[in-house]
Amino acid sequence: MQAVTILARAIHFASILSLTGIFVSLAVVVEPALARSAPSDAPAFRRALRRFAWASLATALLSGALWLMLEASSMSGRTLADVFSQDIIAVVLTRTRFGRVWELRLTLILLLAGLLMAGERLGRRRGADLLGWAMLLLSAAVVAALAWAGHAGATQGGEGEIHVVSDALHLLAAGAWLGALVPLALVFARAIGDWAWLGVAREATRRFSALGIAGVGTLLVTGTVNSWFLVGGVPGLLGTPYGRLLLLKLALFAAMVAVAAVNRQHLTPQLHEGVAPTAALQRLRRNALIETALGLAILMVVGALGTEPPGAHLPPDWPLPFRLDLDAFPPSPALDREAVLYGVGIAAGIAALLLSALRRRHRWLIGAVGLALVVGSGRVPLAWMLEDAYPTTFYRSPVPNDAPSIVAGALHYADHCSQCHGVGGHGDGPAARDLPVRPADLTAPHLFAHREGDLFWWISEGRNNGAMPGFSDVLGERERWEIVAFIRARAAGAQPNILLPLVTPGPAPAAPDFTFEQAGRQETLRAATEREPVLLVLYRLPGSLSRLSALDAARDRLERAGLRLLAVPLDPEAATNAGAAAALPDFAASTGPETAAAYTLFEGAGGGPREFLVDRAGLLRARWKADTSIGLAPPEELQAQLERLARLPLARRASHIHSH
Amino acid sequence: MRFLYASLLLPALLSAAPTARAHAFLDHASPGVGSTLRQAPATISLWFTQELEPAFSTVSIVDQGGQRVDGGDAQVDTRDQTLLHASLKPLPPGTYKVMWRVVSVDTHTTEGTFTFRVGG
Repeated sequence: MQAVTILARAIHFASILSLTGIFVSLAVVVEPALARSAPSDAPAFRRALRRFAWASLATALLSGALWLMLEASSMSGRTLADVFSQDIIAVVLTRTRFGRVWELRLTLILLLAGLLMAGERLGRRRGADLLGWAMLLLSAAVVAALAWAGHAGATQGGEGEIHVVSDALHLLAAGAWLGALVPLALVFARAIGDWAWLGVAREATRRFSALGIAGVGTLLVTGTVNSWFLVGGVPGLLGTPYGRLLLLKLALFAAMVAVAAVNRQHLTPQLHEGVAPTAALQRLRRNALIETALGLAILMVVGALGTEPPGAHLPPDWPLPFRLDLDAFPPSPALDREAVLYGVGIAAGIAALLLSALRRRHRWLIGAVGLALVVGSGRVPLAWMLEDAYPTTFYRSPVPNDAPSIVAGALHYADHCSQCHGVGGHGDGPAARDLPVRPADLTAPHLFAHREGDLFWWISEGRNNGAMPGFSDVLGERERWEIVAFIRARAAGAQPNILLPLVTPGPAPAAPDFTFEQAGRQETLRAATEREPVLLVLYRLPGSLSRLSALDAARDRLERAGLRLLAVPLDPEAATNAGAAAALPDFAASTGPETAAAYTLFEGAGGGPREFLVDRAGLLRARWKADTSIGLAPPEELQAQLERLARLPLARRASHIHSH
Repeated sequence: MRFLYASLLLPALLSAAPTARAHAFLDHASPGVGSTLRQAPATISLWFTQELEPAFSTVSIVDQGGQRVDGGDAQVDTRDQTLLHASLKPLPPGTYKVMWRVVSVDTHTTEGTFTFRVGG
């Protein structure tokens, strides 16, 4: 089924690009060239092109219908037979975006057929050019509309509009360049042996060359934009099936451009030399066919690309033992000046290399100096930026950063990790003394230099040649990710001076999410903070009652200032005690016991009631402790901190993708 | 020149790209994935990373005995096309399994399951 879908897609792409290419070619390449020097058999040539257009149109219609049926079957999860017998096609056509785009496209193709038929009657009489442009526009619409039915049509928001426009331009450029190759090859074929056509071939080549450069340029720019959205970066390119298919497509594209460059640089000049450049014509025709074949191969890859989930959405299997980390450059502010020096060295080296490419005198000497400068100056910064990497380095955790996951991770940690890494994570467990390598301190700031995928790999496969064992046989994937969530939350909570009793810019730990019930409604912290900042009050009864009633008294004022109050018990058992519960204000919420447990990781020294200011990105921006001299913040102070918070730029919320 | 272009593009490719959205994955749900609730919820809501095709997107919820406990009225929200919700019958304490199958507007099908607990 998959293979049939890929083939149907590829054939459909090929036929509609060919259709657009024919009309583009007629409008800007073939007709203007024929207008200059009209050979007597020009009408026969036009008829041949028109027959080719009919064949492309019929293929487009059939392959489009086949694609629609296959898609209807895939969307509904039914067999092809069911798709016909149960009117699923009608549902797809009228009630899905893909179907509505298809309705439009199939209508446009039929309209195009009508115009093509009218064109047969009209011949070269007045209005033929206008009709040609109308057909060009219709075929372009058939091609461009595809962008709305595919991956690009699903990108949301303003980015989505950029993606769709870019994808539509990409398709149109492919049609103008690739689709116009066959008509050009037909011109070359005529010109071989019929010198009345040589002038046409020369003019057509000149015009096609300009079209090709515009097409290739557009393809490069829009292709980069599309990949940006769909592949997301180098990990997605190297580590996912989608990315690898894209690399194959790029290689084929590079080959096409190389052939085009030979045509332009070597064969086109030969075409203009002498009176009978047969060899040049034959090579040009052959190359146009090679390019067409490469283009068809690209379309097969495109057929497959649309059926693969885009690389940006899959965990990429990183194939290299290292990665480039641009954030690690320079490694410390003290090295800033040194980094600038290396930059100057690299820039000088590049300048020398460019010079050697442009000038013939001393080319090799200048080139060697340039290369030495680039390699010599680039080596150190490159070493700064190179980090060890593993196959799972760019995986993103399928486990949400929420209290239940963190607590589950803490339990696995206690069972499997604490013997060596210690209960507190400082690398000082009872079994640590007998190990050849000291276990890592999992609370060190260095932990954040590693991606969560690195931690996942070490937990799964071990480290230091087995000094740390791997746990992939002992713990399931989810359990290992829960340990990662716990370790990262604990390390974030253990960093000194990150959580202060005032709002500060700079790094802030993510607040573990949790579900709570407040005033009879269920909600998550994440959903609540998406709307407004939250003051998260961890209270203990009966000691916190006066604080809670003070907050309750100031509640209207704080809410008007845009702060939501949310109180969660440190001791859920005591909070459900009937007598105590009656005295609680209605911003007190009930939640699972994991919530208080997860937030102890962020309580800092001491223990007891804590209050956290959580910003709209879900980050812990400030913390107040009841048992310190500063104590908890009076309402005016909370308002002042809220104003500070409003002046900070909001971080982008990390989107967690759950297992599926 | 090509080298120059490559060096211009490289940093762009190496840095993190915007969150791409194609294929709808479950972003979050209420009741949350794996969560425990004191009170039985009256509805279930699932938010996806992408807009859904209402005609082909559905969710069903079963109890431990495999009995359907949703109202059979799963539908994509008319205002927020990334939101799929269904009503729930009154749920006694226990573990419930949520099974979803959705088609995103770029025609791709994804499916998944998760559980939540009511009570204890």
